[in-house]
Amino acid sequence: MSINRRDFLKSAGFAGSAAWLASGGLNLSAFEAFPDIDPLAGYPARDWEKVYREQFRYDSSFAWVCSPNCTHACRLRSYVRNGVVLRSEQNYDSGRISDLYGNKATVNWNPRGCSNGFTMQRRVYGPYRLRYPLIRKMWKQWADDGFPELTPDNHKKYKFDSRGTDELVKIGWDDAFKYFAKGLVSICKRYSGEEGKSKLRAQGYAEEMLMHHGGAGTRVCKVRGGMGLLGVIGKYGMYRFGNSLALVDAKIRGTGEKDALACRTWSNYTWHGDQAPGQPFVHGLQASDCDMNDFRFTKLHIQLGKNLIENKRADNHFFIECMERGAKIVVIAPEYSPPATKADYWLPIRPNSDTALLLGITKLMMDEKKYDEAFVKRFTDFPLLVRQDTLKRLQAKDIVKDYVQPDISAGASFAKHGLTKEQYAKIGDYVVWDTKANAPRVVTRDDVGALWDKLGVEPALEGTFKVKTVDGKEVEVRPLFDLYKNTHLKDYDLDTVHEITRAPKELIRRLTDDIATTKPVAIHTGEGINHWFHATEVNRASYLPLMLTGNIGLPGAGSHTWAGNYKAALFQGSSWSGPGFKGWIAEDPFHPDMDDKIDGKDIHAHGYTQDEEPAYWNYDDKPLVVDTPGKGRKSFTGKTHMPTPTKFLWYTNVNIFNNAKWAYQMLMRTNTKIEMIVGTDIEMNSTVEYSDLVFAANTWLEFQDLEVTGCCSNPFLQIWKGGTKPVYDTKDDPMILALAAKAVGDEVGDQRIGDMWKYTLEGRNEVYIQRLLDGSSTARGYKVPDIMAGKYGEPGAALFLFRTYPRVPFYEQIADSLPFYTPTGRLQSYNDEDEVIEYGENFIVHREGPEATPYLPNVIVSSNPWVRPESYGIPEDAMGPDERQVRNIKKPWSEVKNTKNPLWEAGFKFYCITPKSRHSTHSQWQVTDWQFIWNNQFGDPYRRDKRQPGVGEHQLHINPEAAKAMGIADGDYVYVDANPADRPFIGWKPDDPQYKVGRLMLRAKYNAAYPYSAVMMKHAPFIATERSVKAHETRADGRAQSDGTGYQSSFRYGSQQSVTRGWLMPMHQTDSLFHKSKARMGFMFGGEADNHAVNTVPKETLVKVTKAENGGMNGQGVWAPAASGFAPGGEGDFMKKYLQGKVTKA
Amino acid sequence: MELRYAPEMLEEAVAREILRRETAGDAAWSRDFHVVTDPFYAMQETERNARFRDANAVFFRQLGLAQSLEAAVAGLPALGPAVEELVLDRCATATDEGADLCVTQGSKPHVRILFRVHRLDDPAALEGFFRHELKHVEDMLRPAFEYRALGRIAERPAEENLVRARLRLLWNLVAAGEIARAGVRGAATREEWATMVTRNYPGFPAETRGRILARLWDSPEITWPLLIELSLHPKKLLRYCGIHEAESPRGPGSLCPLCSFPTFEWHEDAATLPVSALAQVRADFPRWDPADGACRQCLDSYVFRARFAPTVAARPTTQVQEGSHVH
Repeated sequence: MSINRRDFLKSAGFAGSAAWLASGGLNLSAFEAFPDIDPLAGYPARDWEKVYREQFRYDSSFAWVCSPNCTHACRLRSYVRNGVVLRSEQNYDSGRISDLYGNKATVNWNPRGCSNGFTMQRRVYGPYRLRYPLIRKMWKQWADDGFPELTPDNHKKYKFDSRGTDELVKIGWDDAFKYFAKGLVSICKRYSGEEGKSKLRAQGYAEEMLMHHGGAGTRVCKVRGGMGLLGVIGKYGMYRFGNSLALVDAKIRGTGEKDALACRTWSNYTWHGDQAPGQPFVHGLQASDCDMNDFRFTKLHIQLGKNLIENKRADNHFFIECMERGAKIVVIAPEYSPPATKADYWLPIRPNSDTALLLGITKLMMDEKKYDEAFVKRFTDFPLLVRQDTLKRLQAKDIVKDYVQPDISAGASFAKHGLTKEQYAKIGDYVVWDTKANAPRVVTRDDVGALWDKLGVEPALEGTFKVKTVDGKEVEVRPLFDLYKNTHLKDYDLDTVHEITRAPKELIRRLTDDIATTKPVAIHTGEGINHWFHATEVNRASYLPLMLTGNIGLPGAGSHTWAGNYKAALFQGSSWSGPGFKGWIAEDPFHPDMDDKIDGKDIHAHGYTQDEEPAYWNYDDKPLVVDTPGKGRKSFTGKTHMPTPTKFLWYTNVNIFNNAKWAYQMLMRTNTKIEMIVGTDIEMNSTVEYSDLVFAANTWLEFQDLEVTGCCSNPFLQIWKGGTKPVYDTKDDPMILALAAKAVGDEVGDQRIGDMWKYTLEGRNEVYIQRLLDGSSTARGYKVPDIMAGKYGEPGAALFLFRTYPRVPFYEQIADSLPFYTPTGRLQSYNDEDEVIEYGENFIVHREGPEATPYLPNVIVSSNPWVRPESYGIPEDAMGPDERQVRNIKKPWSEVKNTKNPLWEAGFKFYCITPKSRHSTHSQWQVTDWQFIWNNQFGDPYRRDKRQPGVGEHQLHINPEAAKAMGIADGDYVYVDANPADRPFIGWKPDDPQYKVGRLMLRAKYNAAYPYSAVMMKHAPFIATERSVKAHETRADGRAQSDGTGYQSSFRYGSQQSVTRGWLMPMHQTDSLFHKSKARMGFMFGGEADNHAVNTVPKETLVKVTKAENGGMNGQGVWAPAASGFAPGGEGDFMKKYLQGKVTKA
Repeated sequence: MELRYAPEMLEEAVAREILRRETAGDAAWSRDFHVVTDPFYAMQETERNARFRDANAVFFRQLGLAQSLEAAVAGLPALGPAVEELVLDRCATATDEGADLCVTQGSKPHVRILFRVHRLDDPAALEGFFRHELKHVEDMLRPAFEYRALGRIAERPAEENLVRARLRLLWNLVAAGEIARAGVRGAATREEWATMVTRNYPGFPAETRGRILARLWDSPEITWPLLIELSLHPKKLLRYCGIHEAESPRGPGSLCPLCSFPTFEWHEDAATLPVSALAQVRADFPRWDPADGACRQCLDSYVFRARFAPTVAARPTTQVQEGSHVH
């Protein structure tokens, strides 16, 4: 329509404009200057700018230690204004910190700290804090009713079968401790004596589980302070409390201190699956881990199932520094992982087949003589002879009549390592074939390194020999080197290894050559290895190439592992320093030392507890006992590991149910048998939701008294206190323990229980810290006031007194010719414990997993006649979980590759990998708002799609082609299901409301880095609970935040633990493995928590993925970013061009 | 009925149209706009805002931007007297577009239509959109339609979203059919609506989808409660469309009768389960029939329990030697 402009403007009726028009038309009339106005005459008010400039002003600052289980313990500095922590930053102190002798840490540790620590105040002040103690309403009712027997009716009445539907109500501290004490003592009484044992039998517990009951009701009580090293006083203090329960037992049963028994103490490291469980088999030590700055010295850095980009963020820069120093980086992983992007080459591999790879490399090295013969002879068991008849190492007593062991009491085994005569007699002395004398020659465990050289023996590495035993037999013996090279490794030629692993042959070859020609070489093993059933074999195998090339005990060399901050051994006890760590957790409760000046060396320690692996609780509170067709009833759980039934549990600082494998089995089935669950935590999480009594704790910034920590990955000894008052009605962890102990003492009438915490109650934790330092070989000489005053460079910090900085495992073994901690004193390629021979793992051998395999579950890949596994008569087609775990069948690869796993054949064709996220530390920070937004591709602070459980949600990474083949679009919701026979829990029915809670649904995210048959979910998001699912389904906004508790789930339904289950690896449960005790200079046989114990394996699963809902907004169509043309698996033309480098032309 | 335009919508629409014309070579409107509005900056804020509102309203009309809505309203003469006012406002996303009806005691209803301003680029299409939305308003006001405000209609959020999407679609088909019969342009072509039927019922065969489209296209008598029923229950929809159940398999995303999870993976044939597994399903769900089907996960669980059960199990009690192991 054409309108005359002038007419329009006239008719528009704008008086002002008309005046303008009337005054002279349009031309420039709008541009006339305003007369009489000087824009510079006045100055606008600018005092508002002060607010802007001073937005970062602070009144004060304080340093504290961020101490989650990432193993870094970074010292941060928080800035406070008006009593509120505004922000936290790195403290930049590393280069100042020194030890007693003036050695300083390298400034290159700086800056230390990550986005988690920087956002800690968001958790301190955040909506999920526990603000006061809580008690479950019907548990309280049960207590008020006098703790009546839990008949089936009472069980239901008091909601032990449905904690998730009960209420948590506020309770005052005094009442909380009273209920705690009454409940604990009541349970101890109920299960004491023969009557108590009868009750447990009647409840269906295996008889073996009463082995360590000893008549003590305290033995059904379990405590877990986790991760203990994160706060030795407050977290490990839980074990001190546990030890004092011996006093409770003494009162209840009227025993004296000699016969009193305390509770069971649950592990942390092995429960998490963090240990490399095969390492004690090789060198006898709990774990080999270097300080992370040792990375810089390596020339070949190999990450084996490890992700040093997303994890270990504070210190992983040290591995990048390798590049600057001319090192090669190799990554071995199924997926093209973040570290793979930094590597010289990435070696892709079928999940769970790394043992075969390493054996293949070993074979090439042996065949091509690419090994350091001198090192092999001086430090490894390769020269030692093995008997063909018994598969045992040939012992001196086998061939020397009336053999008397030499006096080696002045040697390192006795004098430094604490070997006892009894132990020495049991482990014996070994034999090599001396080629000079053409005769067998006895060697002791001290005969290593330079001491070996002095013997002047020339041992045979190859050959078959005959010896006459003292009982008149002629026995064939061979050196282990010969057995590996000429017999065992025949099954691991390059072609076969390629078939087993799918790894490219040329890369296997290349890696072999690199290891053989580079020094130092370090292999860093991650949970990508340790979380599988047969991690033991991979761990052992990782040592073989290094043993052959002498890459042990040197800066930049070794086979290392760290996951959690487990290393209580940092506070190592010794004969000359005192009890160390044990002096804190096992101070004799019958004779506590009340002198605040006492030297920690003189603390009298007496442990009344017995450690236990939570893996048995995770197996439905059962050991692994199987009625085998061939051998009858057999316990694969050794006596030194055997659990007792669980009736009471107190945990601190661990989200144990959330992070439990088979979480819904625990919540819906196993935990219904526990009569009292007590928690100590800072935030509402799913474990708290399913507890009976909860103590609300201070965060690290709010600590009112001193705490101490150390790390397995750096040398810093750190003591700190918070700098801000508690925001809510919360207490320090030690104070909670102290007051609980006092209440228990009042309940049973024994003051000594509270006396164990005298100095905590007085606000003087420094007394206990000083004792700890005094008693430890790594800290004796330090005084707490000196450390706090900054004598060692930074107030609160000093260096542990290690032999070297960086700490290099086995430095002393190589440099000083000390024996390793094995029976032979040497690095071991072979184990001859009875159990190990029976399981067919005397040689390091590749085995398929009992579940995560396309082939016959648990098969041993070997044709070696010196591998003689026991099948117990269990047929090949038996598929029960117990049977699969214990059956040992050996086949060569040519047969194995034609076998099938019925679960795989039924469509469960995805391995499911669950590594840690960079945006959280296990479950900490999972739902802190910004982390929740950043740790997935669906972060949306506005929650525009109301299906989303929170401002972020969990996701499943899946290969795009695999997803498309199943009709799954990028961003769709999918179900992830594992074997429905027992997951998400045993006995689920389709219409069971608890099944709805436990079945996993989450977003699919295309990620081409993953191979076709592997999916990935990050570990430890906040699981769906009954309350969170109810919220999701009833709230108008659909948010999965529980009513009442305020718990925020990362899922709409289920969790990544919906697809995992408990497994009990027989190799982890021997009674005969000889190894170093973890926290003292001494040895032991068999089980020790966190050391030789079931190391749990969440990756041992297969899953199926099916579409649940469209990913588009509110269920319509495709998720918008997936259709943008820029997303992986959905690249448009421009993106394809860009990826090909064709967008920019020069 | 008073026609009102939200100030923010006016501002965006006018600015957009003036820019469009200027880009096309006609800068006169831009100049005039500045002539008129530049003096407003010297005014106090309250007066300034009011002046801008008025200016935008005038320019909106003079630029011809009001024509689409006015033409659509003119096509529904019954609407005018029934409604107090009709407000046109802008929104950001397609899912927010549509008409809302606000009913208050003692006055006639108020209608608000939200639309994305860029639609003004195609006045004819926009007119069709308005016509379609006003058709919905007309339905809502018609007593025979029995319209009621919706609360939650499904059991869980996932289902809720799915059902609401289908409800929207089915109602859209009814409105589109009526508009088409009037011989005027609607919000989309019949082919475009067919695509939406495919998107919402991808598991149905093409012929079934065609019959759904045709039936709803020709359902001027349909009521709101019936639409809800048809959205909730695909079987009822098929019956309404005269389609025998056996002709159409279950729709993907339909609920498993055993676990009630929406599923895209139905078991091919429940009747082929092992006898013992089938017996167990029937024992747990007496009213279920294999012909009802179920998701693969549910039925597999019965098979797997047997296949992966222990063939040997430890007895809980036996004589063992007691000892206690103390560290």
